[in-house]
Amino acid sequence: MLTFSTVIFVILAVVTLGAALAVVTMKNVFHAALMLVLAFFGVAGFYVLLEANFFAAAQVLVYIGAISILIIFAVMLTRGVTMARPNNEQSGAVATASAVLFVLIVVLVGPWKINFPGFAPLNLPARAFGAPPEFKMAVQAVSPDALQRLGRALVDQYMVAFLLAGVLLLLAMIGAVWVARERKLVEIVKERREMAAEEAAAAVPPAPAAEAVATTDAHH
Amino acid sequence: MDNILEVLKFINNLMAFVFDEIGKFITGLLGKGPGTELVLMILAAIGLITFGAVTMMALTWFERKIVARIQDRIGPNQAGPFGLMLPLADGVKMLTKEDITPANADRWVYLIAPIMIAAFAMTSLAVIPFAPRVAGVNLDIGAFFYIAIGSGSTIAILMAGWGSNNKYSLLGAFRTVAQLVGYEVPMLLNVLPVIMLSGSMSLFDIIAKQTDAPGGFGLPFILFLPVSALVFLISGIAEVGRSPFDLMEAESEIVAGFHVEYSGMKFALFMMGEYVNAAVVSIMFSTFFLGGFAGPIFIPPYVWFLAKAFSIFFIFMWLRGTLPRVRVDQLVNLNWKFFVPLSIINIIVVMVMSKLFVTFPAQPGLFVVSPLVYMAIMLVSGLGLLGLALTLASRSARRERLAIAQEAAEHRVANQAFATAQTGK
Amino acid sequence: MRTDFAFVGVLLVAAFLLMGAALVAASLLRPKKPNKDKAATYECGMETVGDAWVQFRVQYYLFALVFVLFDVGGVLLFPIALAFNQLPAWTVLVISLFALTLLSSLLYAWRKGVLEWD
Repeated sequence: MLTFSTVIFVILAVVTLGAALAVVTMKNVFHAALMLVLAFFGVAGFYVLLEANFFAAAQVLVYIGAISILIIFAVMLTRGVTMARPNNEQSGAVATASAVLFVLIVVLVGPWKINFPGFAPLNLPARAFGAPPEFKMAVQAVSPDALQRLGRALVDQYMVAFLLAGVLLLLAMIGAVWVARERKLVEIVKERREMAAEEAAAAVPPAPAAEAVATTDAHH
Repeated sequence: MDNILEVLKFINNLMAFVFDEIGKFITGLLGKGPGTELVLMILAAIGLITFGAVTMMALTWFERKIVARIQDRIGPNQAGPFGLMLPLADGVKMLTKEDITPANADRWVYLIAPIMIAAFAMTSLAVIPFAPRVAGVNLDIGAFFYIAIGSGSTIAILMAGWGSNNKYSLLGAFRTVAQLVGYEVPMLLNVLPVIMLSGSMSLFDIIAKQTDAPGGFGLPFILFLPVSALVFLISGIAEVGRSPFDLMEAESEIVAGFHVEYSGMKFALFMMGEYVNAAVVSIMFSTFFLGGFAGPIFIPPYVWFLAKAFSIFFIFMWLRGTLPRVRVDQLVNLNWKFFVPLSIINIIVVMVMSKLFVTFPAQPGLFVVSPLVYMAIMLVSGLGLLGLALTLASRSARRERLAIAQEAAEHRVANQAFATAQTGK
Repeated sequence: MRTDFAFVGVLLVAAFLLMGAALVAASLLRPKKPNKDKAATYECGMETVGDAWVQFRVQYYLFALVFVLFDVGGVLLFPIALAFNQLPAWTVLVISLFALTLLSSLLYAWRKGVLEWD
C-alpha cells in the first residue's frame, strides 16, 4: 500500500533516525549539534504528516529557533572544543548501544502489526498481558477548529496546568539566575582547582588513582 | 458607470485570472492528478523565488538612491540611466568575484550557511497574500508560520560564524544571534493582539477582518493597536539587522561580523537573505496592521499590496539614512527592559478592552459598541499606554543621566583636589 | 492541509536547489587563484594568533535562555489568542495572570542583573 504519505513517512523516518544516530556518533561535537537540528526538522515533518501544523511550526520556533541555539552555546562552553578538533570519544560505544536499544524497542514493545510481508514482531506484552485494544493507525481528520478548542481548553479545563506552566517558566528563570550568579573570586578559584584535580585523578592510570582520589577527598 | 465597474473588477482580478489560466493550461496539457499538482507547485515555487530575487534587486537600487538623496548626494547614476542597471551590475560582480575560502574552514558548514539563510528567507514568501486569491498557500497558521521561519535562520548565522574559522566571525555571530533572538520576543508578543482581534492566524482572514467584509471592522488594525504596530515595526527592523540596529554588518564594528570571511556569490546570498527578510517584514507589517492588499477599488489589490509594503520599506530606508547606530548594550536594554514589558502589558490591556467592549453581539463581553467606537477606545487606551511607558522610560533615563552627571562632577572635584594637592607639594 | 505544507516543502527544496545552483554557476564563472595569504583568516590585517576559540561569555547563554522561556510562553498564548473571541470574560483574568507571571520572571531577572550586557 504505497501511498504518497507512506513514501514521505519513510523518507522522514530515515532522515530523523539517521540524524539522531549521527548526533551521538559524530566525532565533531558541533556537527553533532547540527545533526540534532536536522532531527528536529524531521520531527516537524512528522507533525505535518499528522496534520498538526501548529505544532510543526511550534517545533521549528521553539526547538530549532531557541533550544538548538542553547545547545550550540552549551557545546561552545565545553572546555576543549576548538574549531576542527574532534572530541567525541565515546562514539563507538554509544552507536552500538543506541542501535541495540532501538531494535529492542521495535521488536519487543511494538504492540501493533507492522505490515511488512513476512515480519511479525514478537509482541511480548500481548503474550504476557493479553491482546491490546484495537489501535487505529489511520490518520483521523482533524477538525478545523481544533486549535481554538485547544485554546479554550487551556483556560477552561486545564487552567491550573496552564498557570502552573507559567510558574514553571518563572522557576526556570530563578534557576538560571542562580546558576549564573556572581561568585566571589575565591570561590571560583576553589571550584576550578577542584575540577582540575578531578581531571588529573581521572587521567592518571588506575594504580596511583587511589592515592589521588584520597588526596582530593582530604581537600573537601 | 456599470461598464467602468466591470472593467475595474477585471483589472483587479487580473493576477488571479492569469494564474488560473496558467493552471488550466498546464492541467490541460498533463491531465489531472498529483503529478500535475507537483508541476504547478514547482512553477509556483520558482515564481515566488523569482519574485524574491527581483524584489531584492529593486530594493537594492531604491535603497542606494533614496539613502543617497537623504544624505544630499545623487547615488548611483553610472550603471545605465539613473543607475537602473546597478542591480544587474551587482549580480555580475557577485558571480565573477573569486571565492576566497579561509584556511581550515569547516567546509560543509561554511558552504551550507549562506544557502540556508537565503532559502529560509525565500520560504517565508510562501504565505504572503498578494491579492484576494493569490498567495503561495493560504496556511491556516500563516502568521505563526512566518514567525517560526524567521526564527529558523538564527542557526544558519551560528553556522556561518563557526564555519569561517575566525575569532571575530564567531564573536560577530554570537552578538548577532543575541540581537536576533532578543527581538524575536516582542515580534512574537505583538502578533498576538492582531490574532486576538481577527480570530484567526490565516493572513487572508486577518486582511478580511480589516475590510468591509461581513464580520470585518473596515479599519486597518494600526488604528486599534498602535503600540503593537510600533513595537512590531521596530522589532522587525532589529530582526532584519538594518540600521540603526545594524551591528551585524557595520564596517566600523567587528568588520562585517559573521560574514567577514565570505566573498563572491556566498556573500551575495547573505545579502539576498537580508533584503528578502526586510521585504517580508514590510509585507507582514502591512498585512497585519495596514490591511495588506485591501483598498478602494479604483486601484488593483496587487498595486495596493506593493504600495503599502514599499512605503514601510521606505520608512526603513529613511531611518537608515537618518539615525546613528545603536550601541550593543543600548540595543539589549531597549529590548528586554522596554519592549518586552510593554508588549506584555499591551496584551493585557487589549484583552481587557476587548472583553469590556465588543463589536459583535455573538461574542461574550460587557458592552456592545460599533466598530468605530471600539476603534476609538482601543486607540485611546493604546496611546495612553504608550504615553505612560514613554514617560516612565524618559524619567528613568533622566535619573540615570543625572546620576552620571553627578558622578562626573564628583570625579572632577576629586581630580581638582588631587591636582592642587600635587602642585601644593 | 497537508497539500499546503507540501507546497512549503517544495518551496524549501526549490529554494535550496536554486541557491545551490547559483553557487555552482558562480563557481564556473569566477577565477580560481588560491594563495596562502588570501586564504589566511582575517584579523584586521595581522597574522592570526592561536586557534579560533573565543572566551565565551555567559551572557550569550543567559540571553538565549531567557528567550527560550518567552518563546515557550508565547507559543502557549497563541492558541488562546486564536480562541479569544469566544472565551468568556473571566478568562481574561487567567490569561493576565499567566502574562503577569512571565512579566514577573523578567522583572526578577532584571533585578538580579542578568540582563546586563557587560
